[in-house]
Amino acid sequence: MDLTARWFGDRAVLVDVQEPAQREQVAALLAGEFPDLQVRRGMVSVLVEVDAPEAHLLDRVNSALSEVAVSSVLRPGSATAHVVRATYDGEDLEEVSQLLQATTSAVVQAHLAQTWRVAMIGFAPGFAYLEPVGPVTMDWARVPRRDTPRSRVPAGSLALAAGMSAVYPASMPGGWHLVGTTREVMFDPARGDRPALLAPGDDVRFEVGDE
Amino acid sequence: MTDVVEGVIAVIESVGLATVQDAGRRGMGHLGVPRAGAWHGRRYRAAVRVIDGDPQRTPAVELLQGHFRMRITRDVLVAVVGPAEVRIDRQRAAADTATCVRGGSVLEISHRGPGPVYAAITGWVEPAVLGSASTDTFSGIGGRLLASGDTLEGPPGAAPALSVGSFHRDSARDHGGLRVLGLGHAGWTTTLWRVTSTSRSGVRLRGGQVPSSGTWPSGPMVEGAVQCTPAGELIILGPDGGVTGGYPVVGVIATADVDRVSEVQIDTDILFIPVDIPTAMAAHRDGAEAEQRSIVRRESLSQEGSSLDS
Repeated sequence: MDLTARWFGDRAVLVDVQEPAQREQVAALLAGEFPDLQVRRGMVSVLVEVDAPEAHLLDRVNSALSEVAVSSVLRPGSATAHVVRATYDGEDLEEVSQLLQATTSAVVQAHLAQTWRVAMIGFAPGFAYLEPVGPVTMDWARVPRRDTPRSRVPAGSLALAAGMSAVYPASMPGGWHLVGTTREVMFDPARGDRPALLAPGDDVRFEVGDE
Repeated sequence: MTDVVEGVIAVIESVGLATVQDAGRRGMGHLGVPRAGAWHGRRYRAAVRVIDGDPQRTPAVELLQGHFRMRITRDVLVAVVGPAEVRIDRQRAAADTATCVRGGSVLEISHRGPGPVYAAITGWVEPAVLGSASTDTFSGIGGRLLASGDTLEGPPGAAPALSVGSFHRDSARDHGGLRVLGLGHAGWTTTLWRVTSTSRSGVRLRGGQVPSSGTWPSGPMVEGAVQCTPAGELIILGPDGGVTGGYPVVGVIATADVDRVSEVQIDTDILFIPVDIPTAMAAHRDGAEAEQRSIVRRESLSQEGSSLDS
């Protein structure tokens, strides 16, 4: 596998990857190799960031990358697993089921059966982009972002867009389709060393329930 | 004075656009938490260092526009750094220096620009959220937008026996533009760009030669990243900008010039100056060395004085 980093400004280098399994491998390798640096995931990239410009950053990352082995499939079960209880009462559920050409009940069952992985966190604190991992239970990629974003989406909204799931951690503008709600607090600055419930690389399953 | 409440250092009477900032939150980008913190790091650190504070954690008022006035309730040292007119009890006072302000006095700071003005005050303590007192104006985490009637507080204590007279000597040079590390999209740095809006989340520009930048899967962002929107607008991300984004990035402002992004003004034209990595590294090193020399301590002055006396 031929992976090389490139400069992304003078304080960061970016590694473009082909697919999620490679992203997880590269992120894990770099986080292990450079515990003092900040390693952040994109959907198909990994960024290594330092506080101040460092001339040798690119060489350091590239020599670490030469150790990455080839792996093709991202499998569930390799990471911290979370269960998030949700109620499938979102106002876009009907529209989503039309996009997926299935009944709302089939969509809900498929969503519950799917294992999701935190690809990256961004947009807002604790906003986790969840991609399907393992067997895909429905063609989630058929659900795009909404044509017109809502000016306010309530905190705890379970949403779908662009082949991914997410839970809005706070009330904010948003363009994803809303399929449900959860009472889980996705982000709480006061929650000690774990302000974000989910971390990059974690697995998530949804269960029906409101506790 | 009968109206002094224990622990209160200052009562704010007029605010302009002012927030509490320090150096910001570090190492939380992977959880979606931006740095926030002082938009003009060099000015913030100067204000704090002049009063012998900690240039990571000592809070300062960041004034982006307007007129800020507060009544000081006990003897403190104050340092105001940045383009401002400073008055103590209506008398003109110097910026860029540690000044003793007596309890009962009124300190006024009029923002003149360009860019943020910082006021640091001895004894002032703010609660930290995720390790920082800074105000993230986008997500609302931490800090606060100051309002009339708010107070600045700190543990009761004696007046500081401190270095009145230490000052900040700004030696930063203007390079006539923002130095940028390109990401292979040629052309856009050859024309001027007009600033259409500016905030801590980002500075927006229009009117230059729009780069053809293709698609960009959502990925990590850094402060100073120059994004290009489908509408042909550029956005330079600021300290409260998102940590991920889906717009193509055409360049990243060199660290040496990141503070300068806070100084650009609406309706002015900006030139981007492409530089390579060695140039950006050297510019950062020169800037860091100049910053170390920029704080002049009263102790060092008085030592020179006493050696002359003996």
